[in-house]
Amino acid sequence: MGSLNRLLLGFAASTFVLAQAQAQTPAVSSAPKWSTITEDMLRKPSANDWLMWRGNYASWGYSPLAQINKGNVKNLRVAWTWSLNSGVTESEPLVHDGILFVTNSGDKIQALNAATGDLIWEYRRDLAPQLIQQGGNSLAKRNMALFGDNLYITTSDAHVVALDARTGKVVFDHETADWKKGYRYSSGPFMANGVLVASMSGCNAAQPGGCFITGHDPKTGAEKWRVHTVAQDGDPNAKTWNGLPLSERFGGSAWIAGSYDPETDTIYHGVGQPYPWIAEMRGTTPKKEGFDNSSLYTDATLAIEPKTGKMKWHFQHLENDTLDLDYAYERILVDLPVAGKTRKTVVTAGKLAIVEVLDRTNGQFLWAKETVFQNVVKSIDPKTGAKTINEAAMPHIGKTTFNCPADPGARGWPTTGYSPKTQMLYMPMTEYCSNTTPTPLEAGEKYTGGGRAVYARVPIPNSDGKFGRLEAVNLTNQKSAWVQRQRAAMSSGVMPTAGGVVFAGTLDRYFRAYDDKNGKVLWETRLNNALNAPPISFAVNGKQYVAIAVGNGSSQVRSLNTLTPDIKNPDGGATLWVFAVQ
Amino acid sequence: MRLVALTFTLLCAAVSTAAAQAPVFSAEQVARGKDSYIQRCGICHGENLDDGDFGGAPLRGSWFRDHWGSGSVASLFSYVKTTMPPDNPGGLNDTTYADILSYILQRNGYAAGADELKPDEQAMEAMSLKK
Repeated sequence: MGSLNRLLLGFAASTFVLAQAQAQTPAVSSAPKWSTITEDMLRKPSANDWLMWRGNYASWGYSPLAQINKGNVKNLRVAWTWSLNSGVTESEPLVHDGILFVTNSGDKIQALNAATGDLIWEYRRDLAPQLIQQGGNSLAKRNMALFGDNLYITTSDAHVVALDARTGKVVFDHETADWKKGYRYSSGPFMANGVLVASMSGCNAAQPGGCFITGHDPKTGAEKWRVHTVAQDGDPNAKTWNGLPLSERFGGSAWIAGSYDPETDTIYHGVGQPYPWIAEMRGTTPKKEGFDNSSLYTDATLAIEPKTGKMKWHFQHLENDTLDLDYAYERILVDLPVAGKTRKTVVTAGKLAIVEVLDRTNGQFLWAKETVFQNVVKSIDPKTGAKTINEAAMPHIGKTTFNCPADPGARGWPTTGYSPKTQMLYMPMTEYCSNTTPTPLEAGEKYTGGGRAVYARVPIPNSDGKFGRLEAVNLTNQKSAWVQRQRAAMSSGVMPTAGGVVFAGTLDRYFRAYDDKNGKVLWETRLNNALNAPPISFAVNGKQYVAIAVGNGSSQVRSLNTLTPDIKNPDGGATLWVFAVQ
Repeated sequence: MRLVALTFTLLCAAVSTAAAQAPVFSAEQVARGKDSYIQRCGICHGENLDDGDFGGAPLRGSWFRDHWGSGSVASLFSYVKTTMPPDNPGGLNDTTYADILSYILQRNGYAAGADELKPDEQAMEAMSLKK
């Protein structure tokens, strides 16, 4: 059969399937040979692949490829491009055996030949018109997962779906929550010791009892366990909600995929903030006599056993958050020297962009380091990690207060990256503050969701007009190694490589390569829209590529752009860019 | 001097008469405005106009009344057009701004009529938000 016939057959078949709920375009000629992905492959991913969110179980976001290096990165040129659905684009593609998988706004998934950009198959989800009209963040997904012969996705209508990675055919479709109640996935699933894990978001819509993380059978999608991110009745930490009944404990979106450590057989996962943001409205301030008001497990790191969902330990980074200061982000797993001993650590930074390091075997606090200017935390107890809060920065009903950072965070969802070559954590950040005014409910109205505060974002005191900041923190000596600043906010995730290059992008459409040791810009190019996804790297037939998806419209990008409305980006125009040295 | 005073009095009378007009917008425009609002404003200001998730001000209830309730439609239109969406002020068509405004007005208890709100700031100057 000729390739045209195959294409026509594919078209006919896809037209037929379109009439059903979902659609797939069957495989066409350019599919490379596929090998089944084993647990061992996930534990030791080939440098040629980008097998999972952040590239490895430890969430380093690091490429072990070195063909593109400090010497030749200046010769990076476009290898191929692919237009994506216009809309919020935070997609980190996956690559295996020369096949690249990318998720588009609106849950359209494509498998492409990673060397040529030819389409292999496509999956289109039939979403409710209400979701499509709502658009924005609700339609974007940051990642997907691979295991066996399946590609796993989460959907805007709160399902976990397995697709045959070779054909795009649906293997299972499992509903985890009712999207009409506001539940949605903004990140994709991840694998941990043969268990498929999905992290629920959208818990800003007054869902009683908040969000949850679920473990699934990767063959059937059946739910094996559910870990609630807001302490339920019967949980000893239910008392941390200042006496609020479960029906009034809101929030705890788990909106970034977690990490997995095979050695300790533990998932490490972050949790977002409580809702509504303002503690006086939530009912956790003022603290009631005889109650705890820390609001667990919001703004915490959770250590979870993947086979059972048992919570081994938790560490709360911010108690009784009243400023929308998520700690939902990636957990980087790395063994570090601390006070003369090698410790197994889990490293993270919340919206405050304070690097916080815990012993990942037991949750013990080890050390913390401030980066960008903030006025929320006055001090951190070096032994316990307990934070002393600057009360002057806390919002109160009837007042406008000044807090730094502003609500999207000194670091937002765009991922940090860790290089084992330099032992540095590379952090994309923004320097800004906010004049914050709580907005109480109207008399007689019931809380239906939302943060309930106005954030008027402003520069930090004595700002020089530069908002974007890429900083390298050496995790071995706990010192800042270098800082690169510019007017445009940092808006992409970060990828360090074995070639000594750190890739990152900004709101004003620049994609840059930095020297990992000193931050010098080695290469830059301007793309078609805001960079708001993490870059990845992979190799096909011995040739290294760097890819990044580009697109405007996420709440994070739009929020950052309020600081610099002079930086104009196109409304639409999402694209996957793939580069190689020419 | 008397002439100046008379002119001033007449002018005040004219403004006060002109600004006494209720906001003009149609139900059809409200429906269009709702669609545009959800797409362009909903993330920050919320589906219910006061339950946003990215720091936008409430667009209904006492906050709206306190900030806009004593002015004209023109001042609100001008503010929205010059500052919203905050990442791209002025980035929407004038008609879309007028449609979104119609939806906000309707949600604040102003009554829709037969005529559309035209993106004409002079005409809007005559429309008062006082109730």
